[in-house]
This record gives sequence, C-alpha cells and structure tokens, in this order.
Amino acid sequence: MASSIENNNEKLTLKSSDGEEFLVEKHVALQSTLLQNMLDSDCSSADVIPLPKIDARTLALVLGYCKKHADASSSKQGELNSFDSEFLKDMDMGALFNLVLAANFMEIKGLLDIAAQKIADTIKDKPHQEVREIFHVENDYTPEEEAAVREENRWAFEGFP
Amino acid sequence: MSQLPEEVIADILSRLPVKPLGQFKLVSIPWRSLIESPNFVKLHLNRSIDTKSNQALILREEHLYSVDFDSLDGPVADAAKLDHHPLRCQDYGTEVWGSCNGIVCLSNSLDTVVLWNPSTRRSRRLPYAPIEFPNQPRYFVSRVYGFGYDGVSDDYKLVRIVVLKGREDDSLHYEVKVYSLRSNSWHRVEEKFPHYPDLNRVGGVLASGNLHWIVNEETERGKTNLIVSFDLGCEEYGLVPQPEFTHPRFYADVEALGGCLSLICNYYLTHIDIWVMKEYGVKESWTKLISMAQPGTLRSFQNVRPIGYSKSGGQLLLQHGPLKLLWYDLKRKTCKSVKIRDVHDLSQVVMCVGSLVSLKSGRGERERKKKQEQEEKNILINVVYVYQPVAQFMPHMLDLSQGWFPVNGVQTGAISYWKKKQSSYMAFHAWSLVLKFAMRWQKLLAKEDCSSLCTEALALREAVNGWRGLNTVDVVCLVLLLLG
Repeated sequence: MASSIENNNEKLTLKSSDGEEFLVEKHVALQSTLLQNMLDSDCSSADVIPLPKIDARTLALVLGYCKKHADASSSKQGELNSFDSEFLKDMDMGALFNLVLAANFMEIKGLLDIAAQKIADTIKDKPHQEVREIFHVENDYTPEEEAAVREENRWAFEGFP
Repeated sequence: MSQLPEEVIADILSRLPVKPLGQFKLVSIPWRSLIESPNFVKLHLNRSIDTKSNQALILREEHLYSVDFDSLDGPVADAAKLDHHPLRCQDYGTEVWGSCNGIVCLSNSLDTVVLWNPSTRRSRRLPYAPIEFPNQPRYFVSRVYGFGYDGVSDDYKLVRIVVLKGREDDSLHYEVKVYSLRSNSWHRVEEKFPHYPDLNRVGGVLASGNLHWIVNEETERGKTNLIVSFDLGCEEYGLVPQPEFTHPRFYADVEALGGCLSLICNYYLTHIDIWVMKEYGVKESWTKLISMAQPGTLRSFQNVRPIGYSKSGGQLLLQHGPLKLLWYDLKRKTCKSVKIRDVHDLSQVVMCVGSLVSLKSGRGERERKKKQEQEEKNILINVVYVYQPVAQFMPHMLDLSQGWFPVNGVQTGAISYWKKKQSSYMAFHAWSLVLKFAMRWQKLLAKEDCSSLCTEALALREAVNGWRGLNTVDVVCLVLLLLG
C-alpha cells in the first residue's frame, strides 16, 4: 500500500449501524479490502461511508486493530503478534462474533483470521450441545435422526458420555 | 448476538481437528451438511496443510500407531495404537504404501489393498485386479503401489506395477494398472515406458500430482540414477530433471517433503546430501537443503530420510536408520533425538494429515456394493495368482506339509489343488491360516454343510475382528477349494 503513504493525512468518515461516526486516516482504512475497493472506485473520501452491519463498539475495536497494523512496520511482527493475542484476550463470545462478522464484511483478513481462530480454539473441546447454544443454532434433528448421525460418527465421541 | 453467515461458520470450523467436527455434525442438519460438503472438506484440508496443523505420523511396528506431530517437540511423544484399521492383525504383513490428503493406503500379506482415513475411520477395500498377460508361464516377481491425488479429475488413484519373469527366458514383463476411486475400478495403462522402477524398493513417492521412483540404469558411463515420474492426471511417464552433481556416484532415494520432491544422495562412508526441488519440474530450482558429512553431526549413519518440517519450518524431522527419529535444526545444523514411548521400530514412518476426505466413489452406493461383492468372490484368484513370495520353495514346502496338514482330507485336497494349479501360488500365510480354520470346520466340511459353514465363518470373523482383511467369502472359498 505504498500509495496510501503519500496521502497519509487524508481522512474518511465511517458510520456505524447505530449512527456513530468515526474519522479514520486513510492508510488505516486501507487495512480493509472493502474500503480499499470503495476508495479505488468513484467513492469520494468526502462521503460518509455507512457500515450498516457494524455497531459502534465493534467498529471502534476494528479500527483499533487496523490502526495498530497500519502503523507498525513489517519488521515488528513479534510485537504485532503479542498485540493480536492481547487484543482478543478476555473478549466474550458475543464480542468475538461481532468482530468476526465485521472483519468478514470489511474484508480484513488478519483480523478475520485471529478472531475465527480464537472462536475455534474456544469451542474445540466443548460438547456439541454447548456449541449449539454458543452459535444460537436450533436443533432441527428428530431424536431418531440425531441418534443415527451419532451412531454414524461414533468414532468422534470416544471418551464422551 | 448476530447470526453468523455460513461462510464465516465454515471459516471457523475449518480450523478444528477432525474429531470435534465429527461431533459438531450433531449441532444441526445444516451444520452436518456443511461439514460433509466437498467444499468444506477441501477448505479444511487445505488449511491443515497450509498451517501444518492436524498432522500425525503413522508408524508401523507390530501394530499401526499414530503420533501427533506437534507432540514430537516434547521430550517423549506418546503413540496411540490404531486398533481400528481395516487390516488389523498381529502379523507383520500390513504394509503402509503412502498417504495423501489424510488417506492412507495399506495392503496385507494376501495383497488385499485398502484406502483408509484413520481420522474418520472410514475405509474402502479395493476391488480385485487380475494380472492380465498373454497366457504364458511366468513367475510373479514383485509388485509395488503408489497412491495419490489427481487434481485434474479430482480423483484419488492407486498405481500398481507388477513384474513377472518369463519361465523360459528370464525376461521381465511389467503390467501397470491404475485404480480410480471415482469409478471404483482398475484400468490398464498401455503406454510402454523404457524405465521401470526397481521394485525391490519402496512405493511411489507423491509430489505435485506425480508419483516418483528411482531407477538404476547401466549406461556406458556406469550406473546412473533416474528419477521416473508418473503423472496421475494424464497417466503418462516422464523423467524428472536432476541437480548438477559434483560427484555423480551415490545411492539415490526420493521422498516427499513439504509438498516438494526431495532427493537423497547417499555417498556411503562420506556424506549425505538432501536436495529439494522447490518448483516442480524445474532443474534450476533444486536446492541443497542439508549436507551431512560422516562422521559429523550424526556419528554414523547408513540411511537418512527426511519426513517433514516443523511448524516454524526451522527444523526438519529425519528418520535415521530404522530406530531413530531426529530433529535437524536447519540453521544451527544440530540434531536432537526424538523419543516415542513404547515404539522402537521406526522403519515405516508416514506423515498423514487429519482430514474429512471421504472414500465414496462416484457410483451409486448400491451398485458399488453389488460390484464389490462380485469382486470379493474373485479375490481368491488374486491371492493365488498375485502373491507367491515363496514360489521357489513351494515344492519343498509341500514335502514338509506331511507334518503341517494333520487333516487328511484337507491335505489331499490341498495337494491335488496344487497339482492342478501348478502355475499359481498362494501365500504361505494364507495357507496356514486357512488350514487352522479348516480344522475347526472339519465336521461341517465332511457334511458339506455350506450354510452352517457360512454362519460359522461369519461368527468367527466377527470374533477375530475382520480377520486380516479377509472376508467371509474368501474364507469359505479357500476352505472349499482346499477340499478339491
């Protein structure tokens, strides 16, 4: 993103779903492929860019992540890694879900990676009933179907009641 | 809380090992469809390969074992016994031919071949493939398998090369057959090739959609090593360009390393070089990864084989002779030994990634089952024809058999069967096993009570857990044939 450095001082405005506006430096916004594409096309940086799916709290987190990664030079990978793990530490599932959704929508690959990995690590050792609750998924199996699928995948349940 | 779109759920789930994914199929019907969808299976596989996660070593000692690759960093790794594999048995006949995308290819001493996904415990037994040659007396010499993925037709393929020797003139004859999982059938590769692999060596090594073998050829300048390739996509042979060697006289071997083809040059008593071809087929991309002088980093070595890179890529896992595994630090050029609890023989080590790849073929399952049943009936011929490591000793064995076959009827039957089928041979293992069964069933046999025999065979087979990969039909066929 060499081009972004020349226009370091340019700023753009992002608007969260709950109406809060965020003034963002362009090179920070360019961490997001979505925003990059918008800026590359006709979209003028004077416009307010609405992000209808992302609330203010999440957007603030996302922009914090983007700023850190945009400002850090590539030589500081170790520092970024520790920032990343600290960034997600103690975050509850709801916040993580919002973050992963925002990262997916705004196409911020690094953030999507760490948030999805954090969720995966959290659910890895949980029983499927709990995972169902975490993801707010309705169990649409009949008891018979569920028993059949369980039987088919018996290998996966060794050591589980 | 927001509902996540399917692509995000897929992204999250693709980061999990196979076991929780098996459990999470129970979350809901859409989750199950997602986890079983071919796209998700590929996403999961590719992520595991890219991030070097879900990796395991499959070891064969007396049994098959699996060792979590990440646990090899610790002082002592634990091996889990794989007592659920489809050819489970106590003998030493199970061979591991290779692994690709989480599927392992195994054969047993009766040359039954299975593809097996140790993570999902699914397996598929391959249909019988006759050796088709014009009807001339030939000895079976050997056979070798190579297994891999054909990205062109999105298919898994197994290549079998059989060598037969002419009885009269000692000439060598080769047959190459390819099994396709998609069609669940074998077909013959007609193309002739001037360089056949040295079949006393290991199975084909997979890299970039090609299987590879080393061929030693006598030329005017002495012995040379050729790297022969077989493209699983177009099913054609080729020769792989080699690096420029300063000293051309060495014992060569190929291995797959991190998706690349690797060449091991063993200059006995002096040193070993390990090369990697970074870009497949490009001669200039050969890079010397390791050069170890002897004696040097390792006090002495006969054979060193690369197995895989550590997660960080800074270390290389090496197999050193049949008893040792080592981490080789690529920067510091130092070695650290790797211990695996209770496993001592490390001569057969295969890297395997945990995957959800299924072994379903393209055909309808019912049609497939019917076909397989038919083929299983033919398997006896496979046993008799293909497998005869004791060919030269067979007459001698038959002489000894007076002491071996205490059941008179069976003995006479067996001998007359041998006389009738002089050109064919059966594995000695199969003999002794079947005879053991035959003795148990002597009474049933005398009455020619086949249905009781089948029931008995089923019960027995159940009791011995799949009995070395033989199925009921095989067992009954063998026993009945012994009766003559």
